Amino acid sequence: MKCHEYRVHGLRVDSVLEFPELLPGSGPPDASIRYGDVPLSLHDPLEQNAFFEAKPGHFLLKLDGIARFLVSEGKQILIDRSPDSRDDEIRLFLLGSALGALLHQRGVLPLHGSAIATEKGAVVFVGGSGNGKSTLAGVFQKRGYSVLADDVSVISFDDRKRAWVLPAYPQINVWEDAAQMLNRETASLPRVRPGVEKYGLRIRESFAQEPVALSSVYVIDLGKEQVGVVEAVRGLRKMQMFVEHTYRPMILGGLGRWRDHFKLAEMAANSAPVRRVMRCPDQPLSQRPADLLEEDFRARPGVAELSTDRSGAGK
Amino acid sequence: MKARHLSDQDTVVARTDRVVTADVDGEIMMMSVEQGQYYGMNEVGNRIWQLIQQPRSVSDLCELLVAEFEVGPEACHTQVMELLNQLKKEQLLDIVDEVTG
Repeated sequence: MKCHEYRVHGLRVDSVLEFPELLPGSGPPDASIRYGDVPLSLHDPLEQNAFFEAKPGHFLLKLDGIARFLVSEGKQILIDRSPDSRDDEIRLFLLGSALGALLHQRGVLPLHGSAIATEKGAVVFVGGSGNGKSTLAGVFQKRGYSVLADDVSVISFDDRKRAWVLPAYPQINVWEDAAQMLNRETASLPRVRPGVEKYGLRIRESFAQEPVALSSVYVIDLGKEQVGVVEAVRGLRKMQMFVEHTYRPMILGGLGRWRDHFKLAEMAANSAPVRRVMRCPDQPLSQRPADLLEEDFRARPGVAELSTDRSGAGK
Repeated sequence: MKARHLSDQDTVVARTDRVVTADVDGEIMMMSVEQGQYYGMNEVGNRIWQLIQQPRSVSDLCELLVAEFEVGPEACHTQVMELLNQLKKEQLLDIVDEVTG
């Protein structure tokens, strides 16, 4: 069977399924995506519910009418498709929950947020759903920054425990209103899922293709008070921030990963400042909040001197 | 052997191995590896947590703390019991058999 070679989240992945949103890669693969028979259930799962089952090294995602995905040992994703499933749906869940599980199995820290590359290093934006993580990536892309990730920003540590953000893939998924704000006509854009007003903006020309040392993390909160204040988050709250904004934290228990995951969160918390910014729900992100953030991350001390030596990054 | 109670001075306690500790910005915190819960600790709590890495009797624990912190035996005992009860409630504390020998 023909195999496509891609790069995603710093990994070299071979896939039987074509992904137009991913960049091509070469060299030995870190993981593979194949079709195959996936069991209805795992033997002896630590955790199971209607959507997934998990145990150390193994994750089963069960999506009725779409597919079952079996993610094993951080190295392989097996797809067992339902007869009427569509490629774009398969790709959406594969790049989401299935790849998320694979990343957890590989012992990296996937955060639910976007990331851009700046002169000072990588800047990550996390926050609740609808707080503008993707839109911020789009706003800063328009301002000339390279984007590292849209929905999932993977933090990996090198041998010296320095944190790096790995390039995800060159697409930003935004809702109709955000696409308009970014002056993108949605008629010609692929929808992320049929019937959903969310569109994939391809951004190959302004995508950071190499890992970037982590400079800072911003938590975007919605509220009417203390708008415009950038506040440092420290100690226990900082640790909580890394745990709460982990991508798909509900699968960590089943994978038996809490112990290691806390260590990753501790390392991340000790490698970069976390700052919290309040934005008004009715205020366009592209204006004051973006100005404020840009001013703040540009004032950080640079990690540029580290970025020339990437030995060990991406492991 | 009768069940040991925390109120008994000879009861030997030890912290569970089902938690990991982390240090962020000098703040010590503990996380249970099964539930993914986390707990903060103050200075005294943190010292108690260090001391019960090894099984230790409640009376030994109080003696050590009285020597280290400027606090009277009674006040110390109250504080220690409060923390131990809390740890026990959160299943972060193991009550072990008396240390022999």
